[in-house]
Amino acid sequence: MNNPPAPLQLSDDHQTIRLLDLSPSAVIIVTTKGGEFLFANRRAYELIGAAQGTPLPNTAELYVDLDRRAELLAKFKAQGWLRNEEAEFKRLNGQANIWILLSWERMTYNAQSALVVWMFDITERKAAEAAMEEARDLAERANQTKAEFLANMSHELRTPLNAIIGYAQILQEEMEDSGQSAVLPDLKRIESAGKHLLGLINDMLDLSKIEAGRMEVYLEPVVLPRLLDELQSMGTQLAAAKGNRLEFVVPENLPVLRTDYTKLKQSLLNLMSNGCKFTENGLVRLTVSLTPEEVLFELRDTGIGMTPAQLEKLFQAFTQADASTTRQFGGTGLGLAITRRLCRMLGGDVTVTSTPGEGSVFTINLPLREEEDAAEPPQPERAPAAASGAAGPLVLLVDDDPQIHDLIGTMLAREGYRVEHANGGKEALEKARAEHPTVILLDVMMPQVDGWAVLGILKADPALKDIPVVIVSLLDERPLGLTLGAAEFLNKPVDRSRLIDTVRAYAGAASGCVLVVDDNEDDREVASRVLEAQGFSVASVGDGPSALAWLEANPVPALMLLDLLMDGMNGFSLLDKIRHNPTLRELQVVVLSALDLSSDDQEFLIERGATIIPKGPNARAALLKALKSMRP
Amino acid sequence: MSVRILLVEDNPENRDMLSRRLIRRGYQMSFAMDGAQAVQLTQAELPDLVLMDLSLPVMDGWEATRRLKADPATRAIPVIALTAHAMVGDRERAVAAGADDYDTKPVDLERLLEKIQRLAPDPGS
Repeated sequence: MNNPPAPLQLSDDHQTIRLLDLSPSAVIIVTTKGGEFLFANRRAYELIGAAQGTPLPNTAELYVDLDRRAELLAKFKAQGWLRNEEAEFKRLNGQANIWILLSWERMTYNAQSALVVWMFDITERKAAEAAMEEARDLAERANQTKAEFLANMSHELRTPLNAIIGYAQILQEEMEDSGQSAVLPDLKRIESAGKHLLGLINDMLDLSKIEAGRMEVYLEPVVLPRLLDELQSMGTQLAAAKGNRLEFVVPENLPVLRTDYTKLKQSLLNLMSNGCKFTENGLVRLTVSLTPEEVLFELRDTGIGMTPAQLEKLFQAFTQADASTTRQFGGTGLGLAITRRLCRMLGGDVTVTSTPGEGSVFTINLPLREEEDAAEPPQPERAPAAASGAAGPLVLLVDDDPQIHDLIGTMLAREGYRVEHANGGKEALEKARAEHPTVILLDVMMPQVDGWAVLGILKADPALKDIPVVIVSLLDERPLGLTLGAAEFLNKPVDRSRLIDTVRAYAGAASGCVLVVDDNEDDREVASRVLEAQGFSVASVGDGPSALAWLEANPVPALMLLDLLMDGMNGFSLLDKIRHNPTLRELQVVVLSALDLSSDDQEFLIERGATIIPKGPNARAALLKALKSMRP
Repeated sequence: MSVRILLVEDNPENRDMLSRRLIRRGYQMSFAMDGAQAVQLTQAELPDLVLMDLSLPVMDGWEATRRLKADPATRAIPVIALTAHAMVGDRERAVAAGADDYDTKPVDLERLLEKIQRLAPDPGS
């Protein structure tokens, strides 16, 4: 039991050594550099789980995780000491492992270089930490489950509610027709109670989605006057219900905002309906204004107002000014909580000032952001890019008739296929070997090596036999062609849609055709190259009338790339004409413009479904992005 | 000739409600219960407009819309996507699939009628 006397290097004071030995909590150990014990105080024996004074094994044997030990040694070697490092130790008496906090220091002990180790038992702390972590995981999972439950539940609730509201409406219509108007007020009550319930469910769903982090922001160009028109028509009825006047004060030349249309509308509608709900025979006014960085929407009412105490908890979920408010005015008390969260998701906020008895002013501020520097939150998943950067499928067209090359070549190119031409059998085989086309269109009657021979050679070559061959011939030799290994046999003159369907069946759909309308030849050239690299076939024209003529003569292209400044018919009127043509209503139009567009112009274009890309260094990237988001 | 609408909806109540209200307004209705049937019937009947629920058995409404828009014979027929989810992203997914317009369920009939009217104008009116 007697420990060796303290070395002179430490202290002459035996009493001090005795104190260290008796420490009830601090573990003090001295070992050789190799980990053999030279000294251990009483607490050390307790902790290690050995009888006092018995021989102790090498410290290496105490570590649960030898990698951790190696890590500690490396760190010690690098810096010469260790402080408060955690490690898990085994106990010699077989009891549960312990966690310790350890510090190391070099020293000289009995004239040999040694290591002093201070240790502290942190097993309880680690257990508490682990329990906390587990509790947190559990809570997170529970929260996730709750959010999913709410989302599913709201859907389940809405389905029957849908039927209740719907049938109440149908009955009203049918009763009205058959003159049984006595039941109408009751049906109306069913309908409005159903709609009210639906509103509550929607609010709860929104909030649970926000809380679960599952609400996505979808940034898009937002034309404010259009949004405000929509609000005004929705608000008129709201205001009239309690005899309120609704006013909109909107400046000219509002910029096109880049924000989430639906969320902004929902936020403003919420404030507006609150204003109308808490005001009677008064005024509800929405004022829009601009600062250099922000757009402000101020909603002022002359209603009952709120006290500072009420204002304090206004934006918290499930809290209306007080419980009696709910009874008097209805609602979930979720509206403002949702509004605040939505505004913050859009990079802004909503704030309020109010005087009891005089009214309230709610202000939404949103950043004015430019398209490029907008910090974009993750976009919802779009359809995959039509071509995903690869070029369109390659079709090898073999015919000795240049007119056929012209005709079929144009048909295929218009559909977005790349076309390689061969004028005879020999050339066909060379090109098939070199280019390995996706499909081969083969004429039969050709001088020198004829189509049958070409087909035979193709099908005998292991490298080429898998390329589908479609025979296009004046001859009616379908059985022979198919016997020799052709995939399909088409008769000349070629029916366009049969040809395209056949090629599509064997080569897959191509990206389609893009019509480039620009009066600048260089710009046309650049755009064509970008598009062709994406696997589109490109047709280009230099003015509006030619564009219309092209569109008249050809199938609807996948996309039209439009310049605005052109002599004669400019891009605006061309776009307008196109939108008045029913067959071109769906045509996707991307406007590539050097103009600094006014908000009116932007609105004009956006209303006609055009995507606007400014010419300049970012145009190429923006165009690629637009192509990617294009419907297949 | 009245405007012919194909309503694609698997829920019998929703189908009944919407069709009764549209028939009352002079539309001629036909029905499909799932996406595959929708594609088949659209190709066979070439209706003037398709109202397409998105969550459908067998083939969902997005896929059915994509197929209709990929087929030259049916590409020009306007498709209005309908969904009960009201989830953000539904609209984008519907438009990406090629739907011409989008609306949420429960249907706001006046708003839906406007959309139908715009995409498939009644020649008689």
